[in-house]
Amino acid sequence: MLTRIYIAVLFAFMVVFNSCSERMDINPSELAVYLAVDATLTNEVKAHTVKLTQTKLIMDTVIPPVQYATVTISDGERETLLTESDTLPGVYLTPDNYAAEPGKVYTLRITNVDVNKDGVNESYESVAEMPKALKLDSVTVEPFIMEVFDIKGWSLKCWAYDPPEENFYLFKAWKNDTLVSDTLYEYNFTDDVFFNGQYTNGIECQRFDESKPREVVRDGDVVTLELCHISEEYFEFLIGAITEASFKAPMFSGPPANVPSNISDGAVGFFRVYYTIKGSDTVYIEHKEETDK
Amino acid sequence: MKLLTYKISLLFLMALLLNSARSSDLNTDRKRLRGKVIDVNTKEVLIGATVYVQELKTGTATDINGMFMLKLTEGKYTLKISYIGYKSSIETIDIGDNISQTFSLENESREIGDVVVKAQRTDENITRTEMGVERIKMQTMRQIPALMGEVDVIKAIQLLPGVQATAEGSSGFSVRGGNFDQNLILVDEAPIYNASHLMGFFSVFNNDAVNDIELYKGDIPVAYGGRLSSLLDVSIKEGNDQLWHATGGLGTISSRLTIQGPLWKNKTSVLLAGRRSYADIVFFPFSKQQAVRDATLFFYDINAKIKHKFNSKNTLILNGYIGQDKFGQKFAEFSFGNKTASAIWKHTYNENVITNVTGIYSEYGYTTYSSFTEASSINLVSRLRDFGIKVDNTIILDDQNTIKFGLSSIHHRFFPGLIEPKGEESFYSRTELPHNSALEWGVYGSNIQELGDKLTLRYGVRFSIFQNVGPGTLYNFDDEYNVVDSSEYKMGDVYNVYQGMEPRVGLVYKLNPLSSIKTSYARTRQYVHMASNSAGGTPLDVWIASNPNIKPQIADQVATGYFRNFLGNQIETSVELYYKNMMNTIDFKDHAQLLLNKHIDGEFRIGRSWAYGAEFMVRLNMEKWNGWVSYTLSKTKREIPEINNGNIYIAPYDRPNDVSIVLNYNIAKRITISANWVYATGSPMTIPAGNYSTDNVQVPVYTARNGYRMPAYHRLDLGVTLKNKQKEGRIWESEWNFSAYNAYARHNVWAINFVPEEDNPSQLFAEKTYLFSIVPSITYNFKF
Repeated sequence: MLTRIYIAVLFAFMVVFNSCSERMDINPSELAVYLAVDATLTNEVKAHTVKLTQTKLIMDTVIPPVQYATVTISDGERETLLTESDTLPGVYLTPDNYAAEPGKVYTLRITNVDVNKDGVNESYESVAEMPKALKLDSVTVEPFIMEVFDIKGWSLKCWAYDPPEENFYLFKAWKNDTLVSDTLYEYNFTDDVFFNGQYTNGIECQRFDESKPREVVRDGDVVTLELCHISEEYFEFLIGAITEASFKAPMFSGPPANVPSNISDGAVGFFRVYYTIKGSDTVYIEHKEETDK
Repeated sequence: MKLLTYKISLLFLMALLLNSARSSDLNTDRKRLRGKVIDVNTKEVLIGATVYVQELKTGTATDINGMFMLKLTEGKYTLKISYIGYKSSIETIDIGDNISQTFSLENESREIGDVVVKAQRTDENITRTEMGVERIKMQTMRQIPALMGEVDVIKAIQLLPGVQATAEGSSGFSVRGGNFDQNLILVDEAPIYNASHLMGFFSVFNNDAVNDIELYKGDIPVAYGGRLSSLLDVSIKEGNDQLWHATGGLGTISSRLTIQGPLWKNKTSVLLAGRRSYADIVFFPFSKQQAVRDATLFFYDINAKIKHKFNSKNTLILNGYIGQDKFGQKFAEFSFGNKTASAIWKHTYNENVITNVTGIYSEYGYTTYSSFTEASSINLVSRLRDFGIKVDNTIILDDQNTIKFGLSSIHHRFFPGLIEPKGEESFYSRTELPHNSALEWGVYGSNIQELGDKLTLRYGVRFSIFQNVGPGTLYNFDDEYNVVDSSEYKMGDVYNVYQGMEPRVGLVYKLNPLSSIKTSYARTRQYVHMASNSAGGTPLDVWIASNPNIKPQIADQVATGYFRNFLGNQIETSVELYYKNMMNTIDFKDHAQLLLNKHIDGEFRIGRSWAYGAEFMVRLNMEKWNGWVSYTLSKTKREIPEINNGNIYIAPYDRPNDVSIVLNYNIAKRITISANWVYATGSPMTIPAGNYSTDNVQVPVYTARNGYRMPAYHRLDLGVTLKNKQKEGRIWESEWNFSAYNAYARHNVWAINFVPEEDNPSQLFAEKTYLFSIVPSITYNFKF
């Protein structure tokens, strides 16, 4: 996956170098309104969220939230009713002490909504299994430099064992308890085709790019790698979403297509259930002492 | 359709058995003039010299042995014999009985064979039995204004009716609605699997080395198979066996040099042509950025050819091509390229029986490495390789029948991907996708039969067999394209066979010496397919063999047309109508993973497609004017159950209206001005109707595949060629070419993206990307 991305970047570099862009007017066809689900459940003990909105026309300025829905999550043994946030319309929360467990199958149900405004309430459902737990031995942070793209910063490397079966991973970076890779563009995700069943002997999983102000790290900063063991379905959703949310060019891109969803009845979005584990390291800048002197 | 195929095959066999007795009775009142055209000094035969009978306003051309034959009633005739680079000769001949005669032409200048046109009748537009055949004379092509001054075979092909560029700047092309992998591209019989340099902005063909190009748009001769839509047959010059000389050019992007001459006069000739781009040598060192100074970005290619004539009956031709693109940085590099070789032995039993035996080698591959960190250093290699042999026989049975038959066999070997750790610190493990092999066989026979003065039939059939051969691994899938299990096959195991008839028939009815109507039917089968879901193809695309999961693609094409020449064949016009039905059309699942995917068969989605259209062509072959004006009206659609909710959708290369005007005007002896104007309906594309947010990005929602059309594409290119003065005894000849690509600087859409507004990321706006504004260029060409 990493190589694929690097090659794509190289290609894009060549083409973008020679091309120009300008705004143009397009009037897309009318769109039926769909329910959009953005739901996450992990093994962390916290209030997990299910965000419900409507799809909108691309030129529209506001994404309408879907309020007053009945949202439940079942683990096969007990069903939990989520409550809508008082401050964030369309955001539904589990209790603060809720945590999903590896190997369990979770069912998300959404009822009492009439997204298509036909006067009849719809119901939606999604089923997802949490992948099994993983062990993260350690995380190290090291400086990196990429001259070709004129970027430098710090790499987060992980030391862990990849189980022999096919696995899929999502990596996020934190700095001093603040999530830095908080959008899909900053995620790093991969299958294990390059290291299946191997010890990931310091694979680079995330990085801090110093050209971005919020990613600048200083001596003594505690940086954290969040390793998420995700399902193949979520991995494919991420590929689809990053493909569709990124620059498209006829030379490199396949035909546009809707991002796959695991929600029933024509809803878009995803109900993601994954196991997450974190490891940290402290930034040490060698030049600090010299600078101080 | 299967029944129709076998019926046509049966008809072919019956016709072959019955025709000879009947045809020999025809035209007995006419006499045969057998002629040979040679160079007066060297006595070399001249291939493709034209012989024009002025009284009848008809003519022919010499074949590969310099021979021609005309059937004439008794009387006196005036023959005009012409050959490029030679003074035309006017001969009066008295036909009283069958006669044979040799005609000599005098070399017009020191230059021999800059442009050698294959045997081509002056009225070929009227008489040729294949339909949808396009030929561009190299002389015409070199005058076409080109992007960055780099005259390019494929860019010229894209200006022909029925041919669409897959994207601006791409070397991929779609013929009559077909995919860009459905074109069989041959260089001296060896297939080229990726015909592009620099991501498609240039093709692999060095125009100085190219002798002739022919494009068959579906009605492919039975001697060829393996692709659905077209055959692009490129032949490289054979080298001059009399004199050493060189041609070359200095351009803004690349330079080229071709040297040819005799190793052994009259016996052995050699040609060596090379080309290299030099942005990395000329421009990069002056960059302020270290990264640019360290960058690599170039392509090169080399063509080599040796021809040895053992005697008048045996000739051996060895061809070789190697081309490579390389770009990257210290810590990442990507290179790709083709290697081809062919050895052709031509044996002439007598003037009526000829055998060609050809050995073929072709390889395409890419290598990339990245070493951003020692732990992540990696090599990735992918390759495919062909070995083949081909035997082609031609028997001129009598004046009315020309029989061709032969066989071919190609062994394909696919190495889809090898990942290797680079260095001891790399954490990557060596991973290799399973290799696969296949054998592709073809046996064919055909006859071109003249039934009187007006009617000519061409009928033939190709029987092709495709075998998946071990060692190999086959993954088996359920109905949902999930892997169920896999099967391993040992060396030599034949674990799957596809086979089928490919009948191809044509008919020409000459209404008069200047017009004819033609009709044809052709079935083609394709057993290897490119796994690419980009619009134009990339060097990373891999080729996949048909197997139990991927059926061969099959096309049936019928075409009919009216052909009319004017002004003694100086102006050729035609109207062709076609309908093409394609079975087992390949598309790919949404967001298919085609790179390094051992379960790649599960990414394929199979359906059907069909295309129909009308092509109008006016071609000028006049002394002052040459070029063409063409218009294509066409439609191509697809239906694949898992795509677009199973609804019919517009195929990616459907551009209903397509106009090309390519004109060169010799304004004075040393000045030629040229202009192209192209217009095409905008490409179909899928645009979002809406969007939603996930993982803090905006994701589009689409309604229909290819439901929107980009704005129309049009462009004007201008060029002028100034030749230096020719002086008596001067060896060096040269010319300057000035051109402007996209002269009125239209911002043609290359891509449309939907970009979040800065102040409100949930609101998207359409942003078009265009590649070129006006692109001026200067090229200096020389020969000595």
